[in-house]
Amino acid sequence: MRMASLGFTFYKWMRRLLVLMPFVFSRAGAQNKTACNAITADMRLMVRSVKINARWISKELQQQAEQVAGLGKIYDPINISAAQNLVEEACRKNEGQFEFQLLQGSTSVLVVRSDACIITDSAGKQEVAVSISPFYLRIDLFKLGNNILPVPRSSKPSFYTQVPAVIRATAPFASLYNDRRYGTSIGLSTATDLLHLPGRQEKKRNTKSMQTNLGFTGKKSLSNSFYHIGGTLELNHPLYTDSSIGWNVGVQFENGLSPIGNVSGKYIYWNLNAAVQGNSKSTLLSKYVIGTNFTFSKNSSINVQNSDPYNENRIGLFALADGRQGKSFTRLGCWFAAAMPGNNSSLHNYQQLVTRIGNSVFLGSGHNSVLVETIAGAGYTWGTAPGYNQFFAGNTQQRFLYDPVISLRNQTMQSGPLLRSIGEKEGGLATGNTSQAMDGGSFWHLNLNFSIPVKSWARPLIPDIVISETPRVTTLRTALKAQSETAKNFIYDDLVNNHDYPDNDETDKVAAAIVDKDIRPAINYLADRANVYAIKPLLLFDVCRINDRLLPGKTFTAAGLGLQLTVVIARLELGYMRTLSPADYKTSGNFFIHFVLQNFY
Amino acid sequence: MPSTTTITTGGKKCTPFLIRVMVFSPESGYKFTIEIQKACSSQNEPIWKLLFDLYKKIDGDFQEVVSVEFVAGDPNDIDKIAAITDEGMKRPQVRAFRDNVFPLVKPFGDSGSKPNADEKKKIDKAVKTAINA
Repeated sequence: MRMASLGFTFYKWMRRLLVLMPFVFSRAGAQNKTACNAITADMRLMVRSVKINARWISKELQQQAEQVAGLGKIYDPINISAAQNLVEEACRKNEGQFEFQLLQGSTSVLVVRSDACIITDSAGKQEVAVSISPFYLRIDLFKLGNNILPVPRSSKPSFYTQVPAVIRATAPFASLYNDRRYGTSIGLSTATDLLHLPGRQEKKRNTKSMQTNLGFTGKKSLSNSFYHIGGTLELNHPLYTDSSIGWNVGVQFENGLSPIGNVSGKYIYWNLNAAVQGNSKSTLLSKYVIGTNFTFSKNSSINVQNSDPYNENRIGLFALADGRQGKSFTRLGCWFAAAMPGNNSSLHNYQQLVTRIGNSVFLGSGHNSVLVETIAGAGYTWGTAPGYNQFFAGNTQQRFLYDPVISLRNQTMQSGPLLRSIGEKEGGLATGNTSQAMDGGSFWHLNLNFSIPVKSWARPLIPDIVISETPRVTTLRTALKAQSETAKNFIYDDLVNNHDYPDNDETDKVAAAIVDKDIRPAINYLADRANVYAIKPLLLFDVCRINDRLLPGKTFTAAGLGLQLTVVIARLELGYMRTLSPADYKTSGNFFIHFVLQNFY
Repeated sequence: MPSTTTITTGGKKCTPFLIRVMVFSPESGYKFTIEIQKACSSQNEPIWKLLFDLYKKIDGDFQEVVSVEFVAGDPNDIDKIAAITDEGMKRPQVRAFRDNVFPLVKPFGDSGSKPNADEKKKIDKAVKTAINA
């Protein structure tokens, strides 16, 4: 009943949102440009305002730009370029240590354009409004495989020194999550690089590439007793080049209470983790991470009286690989664990294997293309796993395709099949309110998302701006994409002059391969498909099966509708899914929310 | 200060912009950037420029030591600079900036002096040649 009411509320809310969106966003994009950039000094119009379209602008920069552009004085186009230079210089200083970084982990593109437009006040007086718009896109090449990277949430540069130190130091990440089992929960995570705290001078260049990340995470269900707290300390040497290997070692602590079928389970665990990252020559899967972990955990069921915690030691191996081909992204993962439950004679050693493959592909061209996401996976248990580690179907807070490939979340053993029409770990084989874990020893699943673009509900990250009409028509987009060609040619030059490559077509192919693997797809994505905001209706389909040696297996199917919203620093996915089969799960659906607020910069 | 103005909105349009097209490290301790700038005169005539800025590592930080501004005069140079904005830098251009322009500019970065008129002419000529490479 409660769920049906929730579903109805969701339906009403979505309807209101859909009605309002075209109005809200058509207003945002409306601007009269007829009287822009055709003003000469002879017209003797006063400069009324100077606006820099960037984030966290310092007062000093704003004042300097106003002074150089001639605020309160007669407008002269020649002053605008000087003001542009000032903004460009500020962006450049903002990059931190200024150096050639293309082969060392990141590259950036910077364009500054200006508009001077006539505005008329209520008394009919005409003046000039100047806006200076820097577009700055930094691309962290070693994070390209994350699939989240090529979306800097805005093309406006952010002046980091003006960002409050606490935000720079902790890089907070807020989340809102809802499903019918876990309830609505809010969470906060932080990540602090202890070697690069804001304001700290970097004296030794070689410490630049190393990161010591200290992270905290906390999450609490507002409607149930479920919670999760954790901390990580990780030494990370990210992958920078084709010829080097990245690595990370870390320790992780987690404590919490989470759903396990019909019961709730408490857990405490310590995890030691080590992994290496590299680039392969394959175009299909070009980046990989392989590693191992050792986990010590204490697990208990709070619904079972006199339940002593089960101690368990677990050794895990994992391998993940990413690849980007044209407009698609593919991730493959494989996890194996050998578990040794310790203090209970009824439990025996067991082993688990889980594999998962995900793909996201844009169909169509331009910013309004359909995004199809597919995730498929399977798992198998040798021996009998205790309830806390059996496979249950259900919603998950993990985002296999979108969590960074090097994240600890992606390196630990994956849970059972994804089924978004029910709550977290809710779908099992046992029926009734049993506290005994009689659930999946193996599973498979297939999940599909279709996000359908609506042209008027999205704004491209790189706007359709013509920056020059003569002697040739150049748009902001073509200027950005031209950077790939420049990059290819100076990588070629660097290979020949600094790395003893021959000056011939073979080296040209090597340079082209470097650019085509990392730089060109990212720049093309930013220029052609990324949006500052986009609201897309979602179609969702899930099918999965859980099997067990004792109980008959179950196949679950589910379908639903949802909405995906990306706005500058936030991403929201919400939807309502109904289980189509089996019958005992058909009575009500699940309203889920996955909302993350990140990149406060 | 004039109080009335005649507005003509059908005048010549000119939109200024600045784009960084290249950052390059020709040798250890030095970096240079190449930027294309379209500025506008008081009468909205476009002025195409190529900016070559040299940075030297001093006390662990890169500091700008020389800034060269090449103003494109003839239509061919303008066309070549506009082509860099639209299509990127070609391999011979990259090479010419590294081999011909950088060595001419570097001594001024080392000495801290500014190029005189003759030296500026020489550098301008090298930039012009690089653009047309």
